[in-house]
Amino acid sequence: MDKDECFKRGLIKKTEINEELIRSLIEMSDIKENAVKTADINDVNISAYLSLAYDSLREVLEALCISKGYKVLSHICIGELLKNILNDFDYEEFDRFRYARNSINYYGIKIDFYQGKEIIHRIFAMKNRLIKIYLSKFI
Amino acid sequence: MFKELNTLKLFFEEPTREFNVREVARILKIAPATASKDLKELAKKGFLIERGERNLILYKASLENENYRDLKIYYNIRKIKDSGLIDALNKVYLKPTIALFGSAITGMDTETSDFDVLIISEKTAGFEKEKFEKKLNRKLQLFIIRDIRAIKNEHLINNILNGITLQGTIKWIKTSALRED
Repeated sequence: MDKDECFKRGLIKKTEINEELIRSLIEMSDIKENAVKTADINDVNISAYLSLAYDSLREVLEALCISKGYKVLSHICIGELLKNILNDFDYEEFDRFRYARNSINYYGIKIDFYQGKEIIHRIFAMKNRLIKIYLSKFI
Repeated sequence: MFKELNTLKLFFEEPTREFNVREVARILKIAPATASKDLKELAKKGFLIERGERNLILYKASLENENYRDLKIYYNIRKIKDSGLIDALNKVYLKPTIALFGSAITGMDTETSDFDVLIISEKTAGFEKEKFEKKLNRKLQLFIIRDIRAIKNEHLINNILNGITLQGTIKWIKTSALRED
């Protein structure tokens, strides 16, 4: 599904730039990041924390979409939109995070501990970089 | 082109073997007259080399022909993707970067050549490749690494850089998000 298909299906809609909502999403994202970073992560619960880390990133991506005037209702469409409107959005990396999260949430795949830790680290690296570049004015 | 691929498949699978018209007709389940016409046409286009021996006309792959090699590269990629190897690697390595390199991406590979596959993933534990080796009828050389920059062998680096990415991207210089790691 590409960006045009997302628009056609109503999964991307034009919206007002709502600064309060953007702030709220960033705040919730930070709460989730903090929950992951302070958790006692082990090889049993790593999958759950990876999924939470992804949610934290997704909230920032939603905030980013709203800051550009778009409400996006699907994960795939978030990626499709951002790769079209941001020059430096690492779509391949985001798509991989999405794949990992879907493997956990929908297919019950258990993530290897080291791999999970690495992916969580990179999820937060992407999240915080995007906040720094695009959303710092809203904080 | 797909009709040509149907006949050329035999020569892609066994590039060093010579086939006569009757063999091709039998394997492809087509009339010998049709096989003869198709093979002549492929030889005329340079995909195959034709030679006579006693009362037989023999055909073999023309590895030096650029058009042959272009289609062979396409065939190799398609064959790997259709085998389900990418999906299986995705399940184990969570959608890693996957690249094909070596002779398979030059189209010069033969039935005894390996498929050299690079996998970039945080997880480097083994993958049960035997099932796919059987499916592909080739040995699989899997190079599973965490970071492209971890490779020290210059020859291998050059081979990989000249490969074809089947999934994801190979990043020698990382984005700033990753440099912060």
